[in-house]
Amino acid sequence: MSAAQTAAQAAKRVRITVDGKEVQVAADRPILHGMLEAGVEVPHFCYHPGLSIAGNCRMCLVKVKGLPKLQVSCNTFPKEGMEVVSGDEEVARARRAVMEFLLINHPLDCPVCDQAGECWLQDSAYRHGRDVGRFREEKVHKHKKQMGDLSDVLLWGERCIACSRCVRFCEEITGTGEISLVGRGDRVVVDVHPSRPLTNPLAGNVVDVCPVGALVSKDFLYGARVWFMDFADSICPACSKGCNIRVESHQGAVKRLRPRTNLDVNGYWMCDHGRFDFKYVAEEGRLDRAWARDGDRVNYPGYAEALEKAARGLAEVGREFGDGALAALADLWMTNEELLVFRDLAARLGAKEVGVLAGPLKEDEVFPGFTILGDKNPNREGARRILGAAAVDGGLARVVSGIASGKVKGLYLHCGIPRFDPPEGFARLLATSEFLVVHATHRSVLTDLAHIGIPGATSFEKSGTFTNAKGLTQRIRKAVAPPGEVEADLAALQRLVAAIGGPAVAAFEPLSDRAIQRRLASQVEGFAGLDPAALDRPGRGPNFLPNPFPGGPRAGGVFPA
Amino acid sequence: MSFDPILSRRFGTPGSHTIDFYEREDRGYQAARKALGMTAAQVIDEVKKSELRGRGGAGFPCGQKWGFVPAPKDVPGPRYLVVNADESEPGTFKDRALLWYTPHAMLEGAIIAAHAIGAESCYVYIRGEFAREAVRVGEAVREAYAKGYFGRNVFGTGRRIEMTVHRGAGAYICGEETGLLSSLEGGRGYPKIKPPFPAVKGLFGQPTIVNNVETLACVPLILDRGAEWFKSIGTPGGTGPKLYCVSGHVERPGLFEFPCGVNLRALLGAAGGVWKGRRLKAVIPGGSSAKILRADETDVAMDFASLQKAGTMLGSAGVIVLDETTCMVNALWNVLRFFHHESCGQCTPCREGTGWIEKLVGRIERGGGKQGDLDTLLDVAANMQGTTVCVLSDAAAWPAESYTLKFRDEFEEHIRRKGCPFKKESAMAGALA
Repeated sequence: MSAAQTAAQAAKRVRITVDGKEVQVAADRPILHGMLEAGVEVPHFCYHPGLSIAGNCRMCLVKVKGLPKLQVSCNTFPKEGMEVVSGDEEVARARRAVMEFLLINHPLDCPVCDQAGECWLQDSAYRHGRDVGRFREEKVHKHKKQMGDLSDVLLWGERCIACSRCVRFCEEITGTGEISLVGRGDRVVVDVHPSRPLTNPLAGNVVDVCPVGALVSKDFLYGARVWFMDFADSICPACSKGCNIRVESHQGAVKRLRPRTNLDVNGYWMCDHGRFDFKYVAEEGRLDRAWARDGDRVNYPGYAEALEKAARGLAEVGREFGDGALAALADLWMTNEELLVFRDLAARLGAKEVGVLAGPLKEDEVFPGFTILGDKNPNREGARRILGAAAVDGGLARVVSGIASGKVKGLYLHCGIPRFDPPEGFARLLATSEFLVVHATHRSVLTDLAHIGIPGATSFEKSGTFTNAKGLTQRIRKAVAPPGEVEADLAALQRLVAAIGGPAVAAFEPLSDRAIQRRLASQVEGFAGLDPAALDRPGRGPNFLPNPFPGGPRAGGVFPA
Repeated sequence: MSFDPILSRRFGTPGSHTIDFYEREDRGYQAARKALGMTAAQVIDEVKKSELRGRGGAGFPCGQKWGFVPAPKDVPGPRYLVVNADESEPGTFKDRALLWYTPHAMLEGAIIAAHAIGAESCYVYIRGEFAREAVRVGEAVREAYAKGYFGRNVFGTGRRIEMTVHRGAGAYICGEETGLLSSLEGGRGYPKIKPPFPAVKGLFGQPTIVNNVETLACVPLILDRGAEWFKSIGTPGGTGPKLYCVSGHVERPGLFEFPCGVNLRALLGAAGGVWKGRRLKAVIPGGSSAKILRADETDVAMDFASLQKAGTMLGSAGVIVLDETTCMVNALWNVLRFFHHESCGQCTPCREGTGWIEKLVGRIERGGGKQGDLDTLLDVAANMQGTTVCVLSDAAAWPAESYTLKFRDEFEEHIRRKGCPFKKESAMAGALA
């Protein structure tokens, strides 16, 4: 079959009726998928759009006209004109029965369960369950354990509903197969073999796919009640893939990152390198105020004054040593908007050489259903488009040789790369410069050399766009406020540009990232046609979460009759 | 009742399991030779005409099942024939005897079936506990290979049919045809979600037919003696000879062969009647999953249609007889312990339901029964039916429902008296000693 035919088939839709209402559904997906896409609430646990069909939870039962028994809608494929009943008493009774079965051996420890508030079992019980328990027997007892020596995943066996999502994830997406179902009947539980712990770098996803609190994140354990958290849709900065993520924070602190569905980028998943790499936001060494160094003396003149001093210092070096005495270094963790203003800055400084600092470049990690990219820089492609390939690929080396030859005397350096490892001898060389401005998020050998230091914001603390390795430009959003007196780098850069040009920094009003995006579209060839409004559209693909009350509570009270 | 056994006529005869004996005394492998001279459609047609119904439990018409295999132009690639020798229904021991005494009858049937469905590879999936039988079937397969009845050139016709013996690891659920296929593929013995059905997408994703040992043992008879002869035995509700496994409270428990549809009372008579001069209380007619028959319901023909009409099933023809001293609560508890132990745990209603009703009935038997327990039991049993991948859930719910409904007084007495009114030594455990 040709690609075009495959695409045509995938796009093919058929008409079915659900409870008498006509619904258009994808022909190649089970009717459960189609109904959920159409906004029909169907309770389900084992179905996941990114995994194979298991059909074991038996929760998504519907009536299909012409078939004698209730059918699981996750394994029923649509035919033109198919008549489906999802909302009558017979279906409700069957779902209530399944719900009761699911809860009899469940510990019902919701008050101390990490999943509470985002638990499919809780939400489905609320909407489809019984209000009185009839189970008088002893529950089955199961173990708790850590699923891997290094892994972040913890198992609460008794909460497991044996939906096999995590098992299928480890078979189909990672291909590593660490998790199995062990035991028979109501003794069944997911587990790993002692000699094969769950250590693959995508393991964190099993916590997301687990619809209950059986697999939880050790990192997030007892970290926050989810209903008190704040969410921001953003992009993972840990590599150039640009996985769509949700940054989840509590009282201004990032608590966890989780993937958002985007079939054009990351599907339903993200890797653990990205998932757990946010601790640097609040780590020791995080810079939270601007400083000025005079010999061995460091003082803190305040943010605005430090920017003024930086502008004055750079301008003086330029005047004193003439043409080509100033250079500027950006980094590949800067947003497109910041890079554009950085370009303005470099032009204003009359910098002959512009280069970039980069995070590690490793091998790609390839799994059957996911590839983790080796370029650990979120915005290399954006930097190429804005600063040019020459600056990105060889700029740093030219700046370095400029300093070494004594030509370059003053430098503006931006380093927002966590745990940045400078090239051999780089720091020693920088120490020879006349005037060094370092704009950085964390203390390092570089910041210790700075004459003026400006604290920067991490990607969780600012808004803008990254362009991933495939050339897709995606929006990052501020999830938490930066520490201390830190201002988003975009504003700081604009103030610096303005200060070099003349007007007092305090009176200056920086443009928003939105305004800069319009400039990008008109001034940078690589961003021609960029539509700032389009950046707010969610990624392609389904994102099914249980909704206890679609369209408000049912008539007749909270509990179904 | 006089009936000359056919399937079991060699049971107990020394040497009956060898290929020499089978060929010399029983026209062995003549039917297979004949079948390979026919087209697949002709073979399927003959078996359809015989109205042979599957002996594994579901009673599905055998020829019709073979006909479900799609044409190679619709589904290309290999076809598989799998012999289900994972006999593990409590009260059932017919396939074990066939494997032990006449393994070649089953193998000959497998050659015919493989030809009919176009399979080049066959497997016998044999119950793990059948260690001696597995060795014997393995020897029989080697004998047949040595004679050129399996291999690349079966009977010199150029047709290729290979046979592999695979031993199970001891799970009831691997007798369910798709659970068996999962296990044979090397996976966990989970029944597969249907559709697709095995005839279209079975073993290793290819069209597969799974047949019971006794079913295949009947097939050479049909080809050799004709569908009309086969149909002349038995009743319209079930044709051909049938092995019945009678166990429990009878004088002479054992394996009996009769035309399909023999009256249950005649069958009990053949087994010497209820033991110790006691009165009959109930009969489980078709293995532990079958709904129970009270003593007054036993005037019934033991075929597929008649037992279905009587609200139960022929199943695996495991006939378990219970005398008047049997505690029905304890008997049900026994059956439910089995299903609780053997549920694979894949589907929610079965995984949770089998344990729930086992514990509930056990509590009633031990004297902890409460008002409302029987209503809960019946409701849970109803909720376990019709909503799972395979029928193990239903199979556990049927006895729960039928014992409770037919012997409700006894269950209520347990609750009222806070304990079992029967003497323990006369309960089912004693019968099995």
